[in-house]
Amino acid sequence: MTDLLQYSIEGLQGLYRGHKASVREVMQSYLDSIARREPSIKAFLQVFGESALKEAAALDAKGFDGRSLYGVPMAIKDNLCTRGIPTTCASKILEGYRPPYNATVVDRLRAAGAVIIGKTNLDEFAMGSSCENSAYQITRNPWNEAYAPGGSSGGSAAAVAADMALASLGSDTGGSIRQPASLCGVVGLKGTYGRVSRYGLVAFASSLDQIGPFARDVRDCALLMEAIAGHDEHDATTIPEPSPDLHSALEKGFDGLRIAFPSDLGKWEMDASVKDIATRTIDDLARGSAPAAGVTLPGMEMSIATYYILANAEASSNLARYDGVKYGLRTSSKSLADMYDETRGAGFGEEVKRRILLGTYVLSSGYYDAYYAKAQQVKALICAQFEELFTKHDLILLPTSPTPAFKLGERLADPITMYLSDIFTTPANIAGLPAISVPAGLAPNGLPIGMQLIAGWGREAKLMRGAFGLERIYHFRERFVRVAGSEGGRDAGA
Amino acid sequence: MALTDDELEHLERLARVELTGESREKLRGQLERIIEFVKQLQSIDTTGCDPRAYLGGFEAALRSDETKPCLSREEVLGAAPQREKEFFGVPPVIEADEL
Repeated sequence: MTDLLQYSIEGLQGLYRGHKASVREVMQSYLDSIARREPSIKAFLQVFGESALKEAAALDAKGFDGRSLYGVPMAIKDNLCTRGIPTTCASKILEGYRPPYNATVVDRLRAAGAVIIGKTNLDEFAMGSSCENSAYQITRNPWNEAYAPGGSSGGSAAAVAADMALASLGSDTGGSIRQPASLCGVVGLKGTYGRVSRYGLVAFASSLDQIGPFARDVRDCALLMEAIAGHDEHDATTIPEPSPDLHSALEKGFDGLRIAFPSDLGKWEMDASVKDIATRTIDDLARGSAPAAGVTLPGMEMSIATYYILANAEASSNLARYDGVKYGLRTSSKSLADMYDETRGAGFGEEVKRRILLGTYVLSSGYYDAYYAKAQQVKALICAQFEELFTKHDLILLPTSPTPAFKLGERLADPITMYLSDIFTTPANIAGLPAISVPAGLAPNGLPIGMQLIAGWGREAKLMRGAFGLERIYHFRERFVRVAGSEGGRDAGA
Repeated sequence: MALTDDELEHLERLARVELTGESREKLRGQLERIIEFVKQLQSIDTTGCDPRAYLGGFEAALRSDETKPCLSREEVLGAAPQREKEFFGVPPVIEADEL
């Protein structure tokens, strides 16, 4: 019996088409993999073994029908609403909540033939960079369980890295897809703001949030994005244009694309292994067909402060809805006002409270202009600088995270150190630009490092071509991950 | 940047979050440092920057004002911690001695 876990989406569909494997067999392989790895990784808040096998059997009964995600076992982050199924956001305040509707992306995955195998852990309300802020459990990095998987979509990244799902969805407000993708050695994509409907994504910062896929490779990632992207009447901020064909042009790679990189990379604090991979990539591109030009990257100096003002201002407003009245936790209190205070005091974790209070502060009378309005103006400055840059270049290449995975517990004491994990990822959220993390290599301690590409507004097709080009430079899976038909891991540690 | 007791209490009241004991003191210190950190933006020259700007530039989407099927009252009330017939139930808003 071949190892069914090793097939890509198109590979699996080849098996289905040729009657070489059933969806049920594939689903069982993934459930077996979950039984082996999940007890120590803890990527999932819920696993739907029974319903996944039932849906698989129904797909088998109908036979392969050519839908793009037919029979693909997927995990989704537990901040995506699923009708009648608990959706917790890894928060005690939503314990027991069963939404009466599905997120648009959930309906789109199902319509494309995917089977949802479970819902994954996250930092509470997607606030965090390590998955350690979950009210339920700590997820461990499959590459080394003493390390964090990154966050906030750490469960979705770990599930794919540990072969517990072929692909997954996460959400990215300041790097919450790309950073865990980098730390777990998988591909993670955030589209242009408005590319994917946010309907049914529990809101954190509505002007920055985007849902996007995790996958093992760029081709799978492109297929997933095509399945979930597009206008949605339930989200007025979705782009009212057809979404681009992403996978048919991948093979063109870097051909004809103008690449830029931040020439002052040396100025930013980062691990030597990350700097080394960035430098080697730039050298590789120079030897190939796409020499990269050094530029000043917009927003680097100001992005973290801007991000934490805007994101938390929006969060303080979005999270006002958790008041113990309509759903979720309620404390027994003697008056309405006490009930609000006590429910929110008991239901939210420390990081969430910290952010609500900061957001409240920057929006409060007397501070609004100095903080919130100022950050909005800096955002305008960053947008204008990116716009100018993308008139001369197609893609910007930079690291995803300044370090490989860090040890669990290592950054919990100091929120600002944790916030600085997002220094390379927040600019794309602030400007609403599409960006992707591609696994590039391993640090000397054997932990993965990702490199990031950012493209201009709406230019996902170029972004994916560039990502495919990077994949052909790094050959990460062939070199470091066991794949069908190769002995695998042959120069791990290089 | 120091957050006085009054300021912190005011913030708690605005945010409707109750902080208690040790966690209150810890959060106070962290908030002070974060506010100090984000203050750095004030040194950036943003003359002429429109605080409403964003990339993409689509106009606000409008839709026609038509009724469409939506969630039923039962579905929406179904998740409430307490309901009274077709209303959300809450503890007393006005104390008996205020009446």
